[in-house]
Amino acid sequence: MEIIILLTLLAFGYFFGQRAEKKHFKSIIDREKAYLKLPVVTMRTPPAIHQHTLNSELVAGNAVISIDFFKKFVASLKMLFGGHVTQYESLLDRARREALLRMKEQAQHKNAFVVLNARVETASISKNSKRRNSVGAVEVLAYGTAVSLGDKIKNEINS
Amino acid sequence: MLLTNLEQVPGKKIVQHFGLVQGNTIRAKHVGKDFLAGLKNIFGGELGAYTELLAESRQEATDRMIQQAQSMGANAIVNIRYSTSSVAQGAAELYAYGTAVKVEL
Amino acid sequence: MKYTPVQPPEDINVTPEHPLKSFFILTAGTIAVVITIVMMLGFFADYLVKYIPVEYEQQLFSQDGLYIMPFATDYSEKGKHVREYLQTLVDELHTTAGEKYADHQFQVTIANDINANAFAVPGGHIVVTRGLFSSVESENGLSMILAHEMAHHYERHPLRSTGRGLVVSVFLLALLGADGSSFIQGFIGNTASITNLAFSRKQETESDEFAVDLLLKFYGHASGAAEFFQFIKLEEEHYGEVPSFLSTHPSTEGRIDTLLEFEIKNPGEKKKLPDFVRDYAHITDQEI
Repeated sequence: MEIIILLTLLAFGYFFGQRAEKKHFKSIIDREKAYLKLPVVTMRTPPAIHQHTLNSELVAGNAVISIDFFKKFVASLKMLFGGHVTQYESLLDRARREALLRMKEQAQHKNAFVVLNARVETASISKNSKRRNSVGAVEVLAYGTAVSLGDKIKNEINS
Repeated sequence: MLLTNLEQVPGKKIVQHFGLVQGNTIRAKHVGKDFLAGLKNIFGGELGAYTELLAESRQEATDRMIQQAQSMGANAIVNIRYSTSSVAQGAAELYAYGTAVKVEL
Repeated sequence: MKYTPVQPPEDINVTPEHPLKSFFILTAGTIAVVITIVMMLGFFADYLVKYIPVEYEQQLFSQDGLYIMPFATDYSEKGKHVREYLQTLVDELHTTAGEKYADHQFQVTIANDINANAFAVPGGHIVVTRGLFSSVESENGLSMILAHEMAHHYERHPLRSTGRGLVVSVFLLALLGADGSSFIQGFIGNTASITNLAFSRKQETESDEFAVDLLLKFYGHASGAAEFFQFIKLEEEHYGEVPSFLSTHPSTEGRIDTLLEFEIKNPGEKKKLPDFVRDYAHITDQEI
């Protein structure tokens, strides 16, 4: 009986998890291409632009992505043996890229030409924190300063 | 209020600073949402309700930080940082901090 | 500084491998490792049992051995009478078994349970349930069960199973800790117990063989050897049977076939059960 439940959960997890992941990656890649023109950098120095005033604004994006039962099961087995836990890689990759994309979307919305000092924070959200090995889901927060061009500066007053 | 995680405000001059300002919220997950999240743990995928909840809470922490800065007479907060930590089972603290400054507009 | 937009390739941060591949490797690997370790630990426990003298086992489990059983013993007058009868039967069988097993001693207890069953409990205890008396028709059938449980003791099966269970639990605890993922715990625990079941089935078959030999020595024939199993078979037909690989016992049908073959080869007259034992099978709970 127990084994039937386990197999059902594994099958569900595998089928839906893989499908969701493929779909998500496709959408991430598409949007990344669309936003490719907007640079996101970890540098903190604002660009030297003297013809315009600069508007800066904090932008952020977050995403909470859950792992599926299949991957979690395989990962727990992997943790018994040690080594690369490749099962979680796609989870974190998806969450980071999704969060960064959401930040970029916001920046684009504000007509920014660059996002400076981009930072990425990851926190694990487990449904039951009592259990040692339970990474249920991860939240990734991406934030940075979106810089956009303001009014044109009259050269005779300021240079 | 001007918010940035840079050390200065691009194109503007900082004339005065008021020290550290901070804001936090601790949020627990909603039972109903938690149940759906439990289901999602089988199928995988984005937990939309959590994403929203955390974004909202983070906004609340940011608002509190802004309130502090406003009370000091600042018009900008620079070098903002966010951090998330789980303080208890099922509850998370969202924390925002930065330096309140006055810039020449 | 000029910005050149380039999209980095996929598969750098995410290892490109088929998830099912690692699933099958890991599941098969885990099952193989668990089976190997459980078998090794089992043989180790078996090996150690040889060095525990029977007297020491009897001292260790003299009284307390029975407290682990989940039912009350029958202390009524009728029960006492039946118990004495069983004890005599066991002692006689024990004498027949020969010098080789002289260091063993048996203590029969009747458990107040209506399901037909008998157990060998460490310390030379043989527990029979009240229900057992309605499952056999002759003394020969009853002797077969008693001889079967005695064979378990002669081969030190109760102690070996206890030891095996103990080392396996310690191993599982060391591997998984007390708070692993529950499904992983279930998965590995089940693999370990299925491995142990194979040993249990082997023990049952060995004991059947020993018991039927003893029966032959005691009565001069093997009639009645299959009685109990035929009764169990009827019950199984009624309630459904557990698949053989998930069971602690070999398939009942196979056991009946082997025993019936033996009965046909060594026919003889069955001895009737004494009346007070027959009556005991039918008494109600109030009378106890």
